[in-house]
Amino acid sequence: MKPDSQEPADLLNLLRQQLILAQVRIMELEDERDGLTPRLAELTQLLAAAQTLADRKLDEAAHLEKVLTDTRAHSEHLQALQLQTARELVTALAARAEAEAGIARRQADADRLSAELLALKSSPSWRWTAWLRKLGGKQA
Amino acid sequence: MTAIFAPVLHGEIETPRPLRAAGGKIFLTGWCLAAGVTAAPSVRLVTDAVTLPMSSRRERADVAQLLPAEPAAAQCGFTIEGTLPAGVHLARFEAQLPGGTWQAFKQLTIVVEAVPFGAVLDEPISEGTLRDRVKVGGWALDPASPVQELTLRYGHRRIACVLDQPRRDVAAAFPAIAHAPRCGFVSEDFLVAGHGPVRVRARLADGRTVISPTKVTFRVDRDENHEPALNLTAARIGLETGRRARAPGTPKPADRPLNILFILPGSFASNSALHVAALADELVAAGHAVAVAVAHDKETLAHLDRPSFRGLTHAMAENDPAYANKRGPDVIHAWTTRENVRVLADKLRSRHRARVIVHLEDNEQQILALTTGRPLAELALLSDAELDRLVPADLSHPRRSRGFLVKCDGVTVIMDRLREFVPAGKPCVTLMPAADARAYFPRPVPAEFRAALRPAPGTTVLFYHGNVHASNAAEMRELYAAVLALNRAGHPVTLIRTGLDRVDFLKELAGEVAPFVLSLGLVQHHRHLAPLLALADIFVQPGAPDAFNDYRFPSKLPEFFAIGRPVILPRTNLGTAVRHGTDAYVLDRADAAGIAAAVKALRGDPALAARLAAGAVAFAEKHFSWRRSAETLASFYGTLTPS
Repeated sequence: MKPDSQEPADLLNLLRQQLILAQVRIMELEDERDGLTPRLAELTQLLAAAQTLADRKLDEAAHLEKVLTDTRAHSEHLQALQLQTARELVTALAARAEAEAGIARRQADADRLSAELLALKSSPSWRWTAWLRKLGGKQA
Repeated sequence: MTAIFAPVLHGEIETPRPLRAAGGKIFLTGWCLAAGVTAAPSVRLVTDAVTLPMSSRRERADVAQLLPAEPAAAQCGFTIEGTLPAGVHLARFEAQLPGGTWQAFKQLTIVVEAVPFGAVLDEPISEGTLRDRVKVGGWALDPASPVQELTLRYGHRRIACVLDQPRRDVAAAFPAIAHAPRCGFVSEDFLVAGHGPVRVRARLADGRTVISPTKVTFRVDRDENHEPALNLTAARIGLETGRRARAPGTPKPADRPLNILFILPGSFASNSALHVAALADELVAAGHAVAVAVAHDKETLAHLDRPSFRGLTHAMAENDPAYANKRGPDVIHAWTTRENVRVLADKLRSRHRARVIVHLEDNEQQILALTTGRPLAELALLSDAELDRLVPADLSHPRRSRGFLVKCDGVTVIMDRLREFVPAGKPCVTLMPAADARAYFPRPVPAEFRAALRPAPGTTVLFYHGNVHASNAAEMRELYAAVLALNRAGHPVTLIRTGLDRVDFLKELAGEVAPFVLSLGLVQHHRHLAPLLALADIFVQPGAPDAFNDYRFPSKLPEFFAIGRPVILPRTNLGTAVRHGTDAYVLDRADAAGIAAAVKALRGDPALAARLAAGAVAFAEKHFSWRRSAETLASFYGTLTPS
């Protein structure tokens, strides 16, 4: 392949050639400029948008942190309440157990007395003395 | 134990967001108070690199009005001022609580631009206009890197400078910069003739090149190399005359948008690519999805003017020609029957069940014969194996190309004569090429620029853009011979030429014709040719009817016609469709003698030249339109693809 642009034969032709090529270069540079200017504006806009988004996310993070702090405080309060309730529950359960034991004891006493009464009433002496209790106006 | 409760902080940063710091300097305003506390707290800005304290306190009657119960509201305003290193910083704004601890009340990002390179010219003047041929000096400082090389630029001038000059004043002003003490410079020599504001351009040790304006303008009218008559303040003479193309309007939207893949045999830097790009842009504007695959040099897509289609390589098209709708191509438009196009089209056709359309724009067998230097008859006798070895990927295989045409679904041709190669019964449509209307429109001669070229009186300028290769070498030699003959006969003619010479077509003619030819070489962007074409008085397409020319459509012809100059062309291809004396100057053979006679006739008859210039524009408007050609093509696709 031959060179791109042949060396002109004389200086005037060289000047002409370079003058025209300079125009071509100017057109190329104008294209570059016209392409870069909107691109720069677009990138600047993108950076601003990214920064705005980051700032919004920081605000959201701060808000969520505050919500988290509040929630933690509420949680701690609930935990304390739960602990207190648990303690009271333990006391109540002990009291209930004690009461239930008393009830059981009393029930046992009652059962025992009922059995004794039943045994008494089933005994021959009770039957034999029934007439006496009748005289006294009491039912057998 | 007694619990200590921190007071709640209220505050805001009021400097408009997003926060930006040009040159590292930041100035922020805001307000902050601690609920229930009598005095407004101190405030600071904390980043990963630097902590900046509050600079001043401001009264805030508006906050007091808003929060009347807060005792500190009226004095809670503040400013923070300082310097931050370049980069993106996460900034925490903190306030000092009564117990002395700091607590954040706001977080924001700050984008800090680097401190720019700065330069000052201060010897002998620091601002204003300098007209004397003296040495000048100043200082140049980049905070990040020392200067390694420095020049002053003004007008068309570039003056070298000596570096490493001591500058105690600058060192005192920038104590943190280690290389500041020796940032001075002086010009190596006295100022030379030149006019314009002075810029300091420096190459830094880290490889960057930086430029800084100054407040000084040099106006030096003359020196030992410049005559006083040379006006260095004259306005630049440009090529553009201010005339603009008409807006093309919006095309009719496609009823049924298709996925279309064009396959080109070369790169985007070819005439075929210009045609495909123009059609592809129109098809995209109508709503089709279009990709164009090239065999090599995909980066040449940048040579095209704002392409709206997707550019691919053949390999990319083979691996993933997927479109936005995730389907493959509905239409594969193989641009010529060249081997690399045929092979790819065949592969993709079976995979995507696409319709394949083949475009013909040349007598491919004639090109093969011319390129290989073997007559058609001899090629026809070669075996398949011999042909496979002989035919390169970017030319058409005599037998395989015929089979390709038989198997395809339709054919497009650039001119009717090419229908001779289309198998009988095969759907076929003619696609008339055009010129890019954004750049190629009637343009007057840029008279001022033409005059600046100092042509000999009565010079006729011819313009030819295009490469010289084996196929057109002989006819191009005729054009050059015509230029030489005209000059020898006393008719000054200059041929402005762009493009590459792929063969040595001039031989002994080269030296003789050289004074009458301006060879500009390859102009990368086709759109930049249009203002150059406007320099011409006449356009010439050399050639004669033959097996090569009868089957081609020189793609520069629509551009010649669109610019609005008389066009001389042979009675072949388009030359058979134009009217001699009305649309163009038609020669039976556009050889050296014919071209020379035609140029003389046109120069001798300005009325004829004017008539043919107007006729060319009228012909172009009537026959050449990419919009119309694309509509024809879209309709053709519609008839071949199932709905």
